[in-house]
Amino acid sequence: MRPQTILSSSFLTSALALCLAAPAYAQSNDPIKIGIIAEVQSIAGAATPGGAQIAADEINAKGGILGRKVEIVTYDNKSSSADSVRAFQRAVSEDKVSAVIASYISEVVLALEPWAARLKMPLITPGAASNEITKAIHNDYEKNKYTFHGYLTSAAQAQIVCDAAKDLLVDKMHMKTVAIMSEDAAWTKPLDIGYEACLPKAGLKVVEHVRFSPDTTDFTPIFNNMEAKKPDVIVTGISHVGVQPTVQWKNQQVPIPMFGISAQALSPTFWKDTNGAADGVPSLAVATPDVAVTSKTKPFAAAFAAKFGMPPAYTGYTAYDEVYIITDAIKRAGSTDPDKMVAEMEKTNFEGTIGQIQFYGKDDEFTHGIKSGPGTVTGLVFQWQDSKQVVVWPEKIAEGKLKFPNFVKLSQ
Amino acid sequence: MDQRLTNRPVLEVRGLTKRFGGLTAVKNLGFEVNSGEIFGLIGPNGSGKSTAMKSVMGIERPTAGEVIFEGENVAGLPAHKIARKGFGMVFQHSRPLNRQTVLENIMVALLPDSLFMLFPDKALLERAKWIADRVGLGSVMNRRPPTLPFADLRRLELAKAIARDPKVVLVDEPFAGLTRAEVDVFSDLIRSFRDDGRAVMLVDHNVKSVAALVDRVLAMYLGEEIVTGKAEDVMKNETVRRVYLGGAIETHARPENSFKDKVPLLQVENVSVHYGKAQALENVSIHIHEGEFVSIVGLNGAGKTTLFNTISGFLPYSGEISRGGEKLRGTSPAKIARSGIVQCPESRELFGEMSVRENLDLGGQHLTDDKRAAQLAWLFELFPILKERQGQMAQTLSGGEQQMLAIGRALMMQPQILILDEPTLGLAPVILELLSKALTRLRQTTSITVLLGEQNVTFALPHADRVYVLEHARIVWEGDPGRFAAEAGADFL
Amino acid sequence: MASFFTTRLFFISLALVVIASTLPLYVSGYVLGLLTVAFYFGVFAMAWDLLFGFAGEVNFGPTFLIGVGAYTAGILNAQFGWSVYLCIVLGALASVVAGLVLALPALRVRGPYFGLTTLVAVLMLQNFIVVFADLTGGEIGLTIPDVISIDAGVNYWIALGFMTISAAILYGLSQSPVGLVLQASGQDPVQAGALGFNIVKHKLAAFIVSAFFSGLSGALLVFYFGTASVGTVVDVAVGVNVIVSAVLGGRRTVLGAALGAIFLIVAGEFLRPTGELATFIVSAVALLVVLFFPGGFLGAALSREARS
Repeated sequence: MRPQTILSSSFLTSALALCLAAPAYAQSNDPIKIGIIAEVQSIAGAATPGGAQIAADEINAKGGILGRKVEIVTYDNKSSSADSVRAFQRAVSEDKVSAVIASYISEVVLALEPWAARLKMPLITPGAASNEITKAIHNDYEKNKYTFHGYLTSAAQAQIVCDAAKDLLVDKMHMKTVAIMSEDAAWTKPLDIGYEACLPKAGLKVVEHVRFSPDTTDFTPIFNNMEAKKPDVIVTGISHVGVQPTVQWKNQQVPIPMFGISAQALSPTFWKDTNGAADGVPSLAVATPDVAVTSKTKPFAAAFAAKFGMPPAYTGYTAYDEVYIITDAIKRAGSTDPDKMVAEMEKTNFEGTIGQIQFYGKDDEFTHGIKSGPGTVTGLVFQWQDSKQVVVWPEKIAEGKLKFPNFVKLSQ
Repeated sequence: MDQRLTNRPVLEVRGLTKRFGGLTAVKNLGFEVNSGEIFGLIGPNGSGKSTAMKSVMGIERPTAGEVIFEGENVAGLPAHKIARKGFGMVFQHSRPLNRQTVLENIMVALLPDSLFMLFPDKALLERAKWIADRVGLGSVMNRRPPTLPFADLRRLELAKAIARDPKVVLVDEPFAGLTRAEVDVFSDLIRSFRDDGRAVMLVDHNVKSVAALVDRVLAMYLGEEIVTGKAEDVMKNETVRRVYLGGAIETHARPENSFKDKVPLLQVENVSVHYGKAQALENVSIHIHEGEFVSIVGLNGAGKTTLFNTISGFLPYSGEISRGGEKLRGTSPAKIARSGIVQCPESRELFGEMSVRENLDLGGQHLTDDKRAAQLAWLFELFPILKERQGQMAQTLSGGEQQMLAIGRALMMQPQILILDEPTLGLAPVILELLSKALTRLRQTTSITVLLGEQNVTFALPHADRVYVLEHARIVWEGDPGRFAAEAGADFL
Repeated sequence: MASFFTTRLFFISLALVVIASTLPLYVSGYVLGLLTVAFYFGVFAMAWDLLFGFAGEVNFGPTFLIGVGAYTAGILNAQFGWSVYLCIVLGALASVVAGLVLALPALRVRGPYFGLTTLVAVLMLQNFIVVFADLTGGEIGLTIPDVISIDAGVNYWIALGFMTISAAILYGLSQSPVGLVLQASGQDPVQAGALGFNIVKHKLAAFIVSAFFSGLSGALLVFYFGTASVGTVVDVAVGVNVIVSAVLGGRRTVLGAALGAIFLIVAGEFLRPTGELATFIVSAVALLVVLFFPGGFLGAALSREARS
């Protein structure tokens, strides 16, 4: 219990933040704490502290960092921005964490970003996608440099989907037309802009573009409408919904294949959740348990499955990598001073479970976003085939070929 | 102002008409009330008297006509403007502010209609105290309403109505729910308003209850004036007598000793019921023999519905109710209904969106298919109109047809004792006749026991073997219907 | 009314405020942060009780007023960079204007329709925010450049002070002659009209006061969080919390509403380890209180006093 200094003048803000943060790196025997703010009630959210814990355990088993143990402190944000802000404040002022890994929801990360700036607390997201996160860093680097975007931005995701579509759909299956189907949410706005721009470049003409409410329960009219437009493929941007359109796609025997992003399909339970309707559903991902994206992917997935009884969701991989990114930065900086940590995190060149991780710099468009493309994070496309996630792209790590269920009528 | 104007009545109502949709509740009503006069507006249920009063006060907006107060037509103004001109109204049901004292409640009535009155005014407080003394609340003015007896709550309503010294005071059913002794006290209070030079207008069901108080009475029926004059003259008026008592009454009473059961089928002994502070039944004792047709006659609010609900097991009571010698206390309403005491409530309680047939089938759902068909056939004989309307939704029936359906549904339950609560409420005379015929048939063709509650004496007497009169929660008369008009009829004028 | 200063309620309130103001000296920043939010919610609930408890109108959309205040303040700050305090005042005023625009027609409809109108207003605001995402930040939420303070203690004291002053004003108003007229209008509009009170005028005034405090509190909350999002200040679920707080604390007590809000938020936080169960437990407690003590915490206490 520490009596607090009462300072209200705003020009003392920065000094005050330093005061608040000071004890965190002054006491060298205490563990280094990393705060996890996550939607622990969802599978994807629960994987975040899980992945981070495995990384912390590994580091501690090797003696920790700078002679200190790494401790993971988890906060449930109930998917709420307000709860997240409170949790962030608590993590900083109460639990004295050295960095925060927070949330796969863009809204939440955007609410925390200014707090990371105000409290000078390194913040990294394991799963949010919105371009706005990196845009804010780019626009006001000095202020927002404490935030890192540890997952693919929507723009990057769109680009990877287009690359995969070109290889698999255009070159191999000779598809020519596409319908875009996205849920109406923050992260899909830049995604759709990306799709609109890169799909035609990949050789697919956009004949229909549907944005639907995340509350939609009946997709019949949407599918009917699509069928009428006769696209060769539907490219999706869905995350909040996923089971429902998949089940209806199967039940209604929609003759058009799906491609793109279906974030719920990343969940290891998706096959069960859809009662097998997932068969033939592909999605973009950063890693799957059985494919060695890097040498670290499979051992991590195995460790996670051993500890939690199921393979990790995507935020598990990223959170695991991010704990290493943070601790490595602390090691290099020799302290938990936030500015030094940020400087070191920017220099990250780390082989994680999802690829070689580097961050874009101050002058790049997506400042502090992870670099994507050959040599960095390439992403992959897997497809649910007979209750398994089978990687079908890129060829280098592919386990099988893209194949759609019988009711799908391929135009060629 | 010149002499002519000061001699004018303070309130003149001319051609007052109020329509609700297709229903004309008040038709071309005209009267005047002078300062220092008590004027009564009298009529049976549904005659439009309350609507007339509300139209004067501006609570209802009159469809046509003039309400002239001191030479100014105020018809159509909202209530708060009319009130500020010099009107006060005493409501029958009071909802005082329970967390404030009596004095503060009176204070509220004295406040200006301003949004910026943030601190109470000493002068108003003195005035409120004076008013509290005036209506007899002096000793309880620092208590809060929940701790007061019913009569004091009514006094509080009087106090609020006269707080701003209105020139016209409107009183809705001044004596409802009061005991005899309290009625006298309130009569004195209302007289004192007259003596202050106010014009007082009362609304009540019957002439008798206010006869001693009023200077003049206007009797109305179906929205229209029948006659205006002194109370005794109005009571002598033939039309008034017909409206309240009907014409020459034919009775078909069977003497009580013709019923064979030694212990009456249903006995109600010394039953009392309270609603909060108001006594709804006071030591009521009645009995009914098997096969007997008993009418309970009483004005609105006398306690008929309460008595029936008590018999049906819905209300807690003191005293005893027994059926065939067995005490009913502790038996659930559902069990009482299943055992054959079936109430057909005043509000009818039909399933409006179900067909006539479905409503009837619901009543007969405990019967086997054969029995149900037989009962239905018998019922359609009794009420042929229901047969024609079988497929129609209940809510599309006319009021009279709905009443027949309600009785029909009750009969489908094959009751041993059928309780009919105010079946004539709101029905046109032609329909009354139809209903009356059906009751006659019912009485002639079955051995059913009927307990009928009515304020319409003309309807209640012809069928009855025996009559009870319920007044202010008590049974005040019991006897043969033939003797009713002579012995108890005057109370129903 | 003046006698209030000698009542037990006054001394208890005073004691509570004095104790509360010393909390930053010995409790953690986390608890302070929790109470800061609870205090702003307390003002929401008190403003709501003025409408429900006194004017007798159920406003199903407290978050309409809160949201307009919060977003106006937030947008002005984010778009034009105006000072925090100016934005807060303008937010409160915007809420008053929005309240007026809503209440003028809504108070003319009777019965449950007022409540429905207010509910629809929330949904409209929510859609407006989503549709005009460029201005409002849409469903991502609006990131606000400035905050009042980043110090937990300072934020706490501001919230406590604001709630205390709001409580004093709202309670004083409710006990003043105007408050009595309002209460009479709410309890029996026909009779209040017949006593010479323009009930629409009084209810409208109550709505404006309620809007002012809701908007002010919403704006302050935004500059505490540094973010405005639908989920924080507009969502129907937030409104339900406000309503439950007020009912829990005690209808027609004003002060009880603040207690209810503090209880609801603090209890929700203490039960956080139980996960989803927390919401269930808090709801169950609220339901039990409403069923068995319909007067709420303070209502039960006050009516016992009234009877004695």
